[in-house]
Amino acid sequence: MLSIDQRLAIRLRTSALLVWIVVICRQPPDLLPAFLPDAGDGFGIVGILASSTQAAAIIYSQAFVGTVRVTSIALCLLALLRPGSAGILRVAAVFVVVWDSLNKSIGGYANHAQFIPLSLLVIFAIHQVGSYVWFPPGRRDANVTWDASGGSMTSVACALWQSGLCVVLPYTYVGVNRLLEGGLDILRSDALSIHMRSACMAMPSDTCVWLASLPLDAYSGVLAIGLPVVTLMEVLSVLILVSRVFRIGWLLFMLGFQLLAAIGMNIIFWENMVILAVLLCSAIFSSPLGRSAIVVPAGTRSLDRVDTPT
Amino acid sequence: MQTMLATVGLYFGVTTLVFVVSLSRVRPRPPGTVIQGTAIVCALFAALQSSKRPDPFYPLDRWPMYGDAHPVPVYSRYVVLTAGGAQAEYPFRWAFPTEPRVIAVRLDALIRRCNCRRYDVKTDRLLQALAEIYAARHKVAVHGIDVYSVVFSLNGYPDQSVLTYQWRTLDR
Repeated sequence: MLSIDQRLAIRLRTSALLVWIVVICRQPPDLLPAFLPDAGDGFGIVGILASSTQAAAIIYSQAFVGTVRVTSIALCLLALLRPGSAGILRVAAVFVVVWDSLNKSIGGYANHAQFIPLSLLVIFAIHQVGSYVWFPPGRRDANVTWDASGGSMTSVACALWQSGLCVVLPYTYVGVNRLLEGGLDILRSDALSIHMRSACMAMPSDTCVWLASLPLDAYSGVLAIGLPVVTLMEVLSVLILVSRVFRIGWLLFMLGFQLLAAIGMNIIFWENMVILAVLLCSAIFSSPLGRSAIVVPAGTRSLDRVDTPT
Repeated sequence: MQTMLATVGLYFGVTTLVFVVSLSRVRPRPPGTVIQGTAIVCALFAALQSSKRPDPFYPLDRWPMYGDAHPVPVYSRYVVLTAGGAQAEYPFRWAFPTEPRVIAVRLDALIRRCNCRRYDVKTDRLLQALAEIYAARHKVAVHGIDVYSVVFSLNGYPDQSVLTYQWRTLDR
């Protein structure tokens, strides 16, 4: 039998693995080595490993990058198929972190679209949260059950708590940073229109170019209201850990905001949207009013809320 | 210095607040939860700062992140010059589907840093890689890539392009 927390933990882990499989598969294998930087210019773990010319020659080679890519995909798939094995997920997380560092070394900055899925992968590599077990045909009376050996309620509670932190902190930082950088001026100026047009024209799409071609008056009112609301929601992100009603509203709002950023600026954070959608489904369908589905006490309350296996 | 300290102080304040609020929802707390969480936050911060780049990392670095109240209305255009004098915008999203902006952002930074219009080794190497990928995919000969800085207006005035960097196959 699965509690709400266990189901959420398993869904988050599965989503993070699926996101990484898609992200790595979408990257053409031959492109990465062509863009990698010089020795010492790498990012994160790759920056440390490839600090000398000799090490950089190995790490930035087609063979190394290809091996990391294929192994990451294979291990993530294996971790999906064998969710009870903590060892596979841990090795997969190591390879994905290296692949992510290689990818980041190209641009030299952390892509926050992939920050949350990466954090989740690392968290679920540390905490074993168990798995669904599919029984063979003929035992359909209990085709899905909780693998008791796969994880404890303490691990689940810890994993969900840290997952909550990883969702809340980036959004909070973005909101706080915007207020620090721009102050109240940014809420009163045409800054967002300029940011939107710069982002769109640097990487144009049909929809954002059409929006950019409209007269400023056509949408300036929406932006004037939208930007303070977005900033407020980002700054107040921590409340999603406290109130389920706020969490549902926040998740709906942020999903809509990410969609608008994709349409208006051609900035697509589909990785974040997948994780937010999983949290939204959990908040709407699983969690009782007033209780947190992201961080739920282990042992007491969560054990009282046990779902019937599906 | 004071601004940086205030920024770091505020970020740690915000982090601590989020940390405390989130921790209050975990009940009963498994042993070592506080230490574990603190270690994760500190390790994340240290890992980001130790990325061996010349500049400090966010939040020590004041990354604007669409937070600038008075941004310069400018963007970069990358134009591929192919055989027969044809020109095309470089399709970054097609060339680099997972993170299409990173190459353009890195090139912009390199061009800004070199403050030159030709013959920067790192910039040339990146542009050459882009040109080879474009040529292989489109089966055309690429003669060069021009980088323009385009200043635009929100009031309907025409955009103004300034050539900021040129790469030609003969430069190799």
